[in-house]
Amino acid sequence: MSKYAVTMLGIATSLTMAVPAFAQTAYPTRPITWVVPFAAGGVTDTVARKMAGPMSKVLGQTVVVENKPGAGGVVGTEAVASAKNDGYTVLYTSSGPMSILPALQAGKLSYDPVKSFTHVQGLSVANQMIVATPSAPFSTLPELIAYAKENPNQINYGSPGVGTAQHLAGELLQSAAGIKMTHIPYKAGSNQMVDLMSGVIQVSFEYSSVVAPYVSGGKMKVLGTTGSKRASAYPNAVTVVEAGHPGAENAGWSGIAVPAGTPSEVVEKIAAAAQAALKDPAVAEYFESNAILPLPEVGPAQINEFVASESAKFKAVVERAGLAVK
Amino acid sequence: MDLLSNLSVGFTTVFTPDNLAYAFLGCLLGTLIGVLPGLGPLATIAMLLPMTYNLAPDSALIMLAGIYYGAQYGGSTTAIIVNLPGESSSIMTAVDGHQMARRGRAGVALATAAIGSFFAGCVATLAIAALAKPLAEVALQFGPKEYFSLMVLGLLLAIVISADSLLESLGMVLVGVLWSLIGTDVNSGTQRFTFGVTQLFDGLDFVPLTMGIFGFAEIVRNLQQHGAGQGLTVEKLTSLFPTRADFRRMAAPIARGTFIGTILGVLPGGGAALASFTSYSVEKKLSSNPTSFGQGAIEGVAGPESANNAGAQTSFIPLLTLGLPANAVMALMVGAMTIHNIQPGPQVMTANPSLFWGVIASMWVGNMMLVILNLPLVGLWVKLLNIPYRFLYPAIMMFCCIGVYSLKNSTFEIYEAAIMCIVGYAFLMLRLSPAPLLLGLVLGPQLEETFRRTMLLSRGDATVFFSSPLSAVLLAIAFCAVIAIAVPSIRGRRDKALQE
Repeated sequence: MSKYAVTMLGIATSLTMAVPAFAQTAYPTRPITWVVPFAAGGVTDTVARKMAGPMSKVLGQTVVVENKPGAGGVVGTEAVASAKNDGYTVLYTSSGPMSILPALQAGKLSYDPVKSFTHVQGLSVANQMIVATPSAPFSTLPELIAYAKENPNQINYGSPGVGTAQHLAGELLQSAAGIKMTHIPYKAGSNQMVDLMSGVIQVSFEYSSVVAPYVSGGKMKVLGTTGSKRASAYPNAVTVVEAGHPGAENAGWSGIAVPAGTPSEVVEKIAAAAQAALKDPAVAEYFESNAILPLPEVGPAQINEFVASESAKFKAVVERAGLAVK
Repeated sequence: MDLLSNLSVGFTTVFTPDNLAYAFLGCLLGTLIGVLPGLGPLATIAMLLPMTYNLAPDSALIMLAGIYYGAQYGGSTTAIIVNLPGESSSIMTAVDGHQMARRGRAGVALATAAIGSFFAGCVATLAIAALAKPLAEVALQFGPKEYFSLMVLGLLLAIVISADSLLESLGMVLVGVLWSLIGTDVNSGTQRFTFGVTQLFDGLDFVPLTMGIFGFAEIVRNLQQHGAGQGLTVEKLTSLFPTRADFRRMAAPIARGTFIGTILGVLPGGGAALASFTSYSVEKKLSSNPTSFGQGAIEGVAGPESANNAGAQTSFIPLLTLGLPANAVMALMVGAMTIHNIQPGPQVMTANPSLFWGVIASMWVGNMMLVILNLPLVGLWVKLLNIPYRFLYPAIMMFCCIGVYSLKNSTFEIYEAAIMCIVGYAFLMLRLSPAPLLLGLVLGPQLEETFRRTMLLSRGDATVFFSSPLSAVLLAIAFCAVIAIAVPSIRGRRDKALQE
C-alpha cells in the first residue's frame, strides 16, 4: 500500500520535474510557513522544528515554523483556514483543534475540520501513559481499577483541561471499566505534574514526552498505557486492551493540512517531504524515545478517512460523557 | 565542600573561550532586543531561540540564559526611561524609576537597577548552587490550597503598594480580578465574556494590556501636557551615578529584595512578579517617608529590581531539579533542552553535571557581563530622554506594535493595546493607579483556579484552607496585613478630619 503510494509519488514527482513549463511546477519558489497553533517549547513545537530541517532539504526551500498559540490551537487553525491556498501556509494539525474541539464547541468554531482544509499527511499517533503518584495504593492498571471499584469517586485524576485528549482518556477508562473517579482540570501542565508528584491528585493520563523525566526520576509510577500494543520504551506497562477494557483505547494524533483548494501537485510535494522527514534519524529517534508512532503510511489518499474516523471516535466520547458546551 | 567542587565543575565549563563568548553574545543580544519597548524576555527568547539550535547543548543553554538576563535587564531600562514595563515583574520598577527619570535622575535609577540586579544575581546563584534541592522541595509543598492563600496575601499586598485610598485600590484590584474572568472556565470549558472572539478564549493577554495602560496612555498625556517639541526630562539632568547618600539608601532595600526574590522565585507561576510587588510594599511599609514612593524613591527601584532579578534566577530551580517550567520563559528553556536531546528533570543534575553546574556558573558570569555592558550604556540611554518627543513617541509606538505582534504572531493583541490605551488614559484622568489592577489581573486566574481546584479536591469542604498549616499561616499573615492597612488609613482619615 505505502510502497504503491511512494511509487506513484515518484512518478508524479518525475513528471512534474519533466515539464517545468507549468507555473505550479515551480512550487516552492519561496519559504514556506508552517503554522504550529501551540506555544514554542511544547511537544508539537519540538516535533515541527525537528521535521522542518529535513523537509526544507527535500523541498529546496526553507520551512519556517511559526507559533500562533491560543484557545487550545483554535486561533492558529482559524488563521490557516482563511489563508491563501497556494501551499505557502501549512498547518500542524492535531486531535485537539481537529477532532475534539469541533465536537466540544459544536457550531462555535469558524472552521470545519473537513471542509476548510485539504489534509495532506499523517505525522504521529501517541497513546497516553497512565501514571500515578508514588504513594498511591495501586501499582498496575488492574489494581487501579479494583481500587476504584471499592472506593468510588475517591481517586482524583488530573488533565491539562476539559476536553483535552488526556481528559477524554480518563472518561473512556471510567466508562469502559465501570468505575468512577473525580476529574481535576488544570490550565498549566506543570502545576498538574507538581500535584501528581506530591500526591494531591493520584492519577494522570499523560503523554510519555511529558511524564518520562518524572518516571525515570522515581517521582511517578507507570500503571499502564491507553494503547493496544505495549510501548517499547515501557515494556512493563500493561495496555488497556490487555487489562480487558478495549473500549478505553485512546490516542492523540497529529498531521499536516493546507487550506482547502490547494493544488494537488503541491499537496503531493508537501506529503513527500513530510514522509522523508519522518524517516530522518533524528526525528525517528525522538519519536521512539517518547513512545510516539510515526504515520508515514497515512498519505494524501488515506488521511481524510483517518481524520474522519478519529473525529467520529472523539465525538462519541464527548457525547457519552456529556461534555459538549452549550 | 560538595558545593565548591560542583561550582568548580561549572566554572570550568563556562570559562572556555567559546562559552564565555556565547554568554557575552547572549547578554548583548538580550539587552539590545529587550530594550526595545514591548519586547520582554519571552518574545526575545522566542525570536532568538533558533540561533542556538546548532550550538553544543551547554553553549546553547548558556547563551539562552544570557539572553534571558539581558532581556530582563533591558526591560527594566525601558520601564525607567519610557515607563514601559515589558513584563509583570518590572511594573514596580516603572512606578518610581520613571519618576526618577523625569526628575533628571535617570542615570541614578539605571545604575541602581544594575547594581541591585548584580547583587541579587550573585546571591541567587549561590542560593541555587547550595539550596536547589531543598528549595525544590518547598515548591512541592505548595498544593492548590497553599497557592490560594498565597494569592490572597499577594492581592492584599497590592492594596498596600498603592498610593491611593484603600477603597480605590481595593476597587482596582477587584476590577483586575474581574477582568481575569474573561476566557474559558477551567472546570467546565464554558466561554465567559468572550463574545465568540477566539483570541479571548485564553483570557486578556497581559503584555498588550500593560503596553496600552502604561505606555500608550502615558504618550497621550505627554503630548497633551508638554506638546511634541521637547524631551521627556522635566528637571535638569543631575549626575549619572548614585551619590554616597544614594548608596546608603539603596543598600538595605537591595538586601531585603534579594531575600524576598530568592524565596518567591522558586514558586511556579509568576514568582518574580509577586516578589517585586512584595518587595515594593515591604520597602514602602518600612520607609520613614512613605509618601515619597511613587514620586521617585530610590528604594522603590532598588528593592523590586533586586527581587525580580533574584526571582528570575531562582525560577531556574524547579526547571533544573524537577523539570517544571515556572513560567513561559522557562517553558521555552524546556523546549530548547528537548531540541538538544536533554530531558529536563531530576536526572539532569546527575546525568549532565557539567551542563547543570555550567548553567548555574554562567548565571554569575552573565550578571557580571551585564554590569560591564550596561554601566557604560547608562549615558546612552539617558540621552534618549533628550530626544524631541515628536521623534521619540512614534518610535516607541512602532516598537511596541512590533513587540506586541510578535507575542503570538497575531494582530489581535495590537487592537487590545489600542483599546487599553483609552482605558489607561481614563485612569490617568481619574488619578487611579493601575498597578493594583495589573496585579489583580496577573494573580486573578490563579486565585480562581486554585480555589476551585481546592473545592473539587475537598469535595466542597472550605475548612481545608485552615487545616493545612502552611495555608493557615499565610492566611493569618494576610489577616494581619488587613489590620495593618486598615488601622493607619482609618487613623489617617481621622487626622485629616481633625485638621479640617
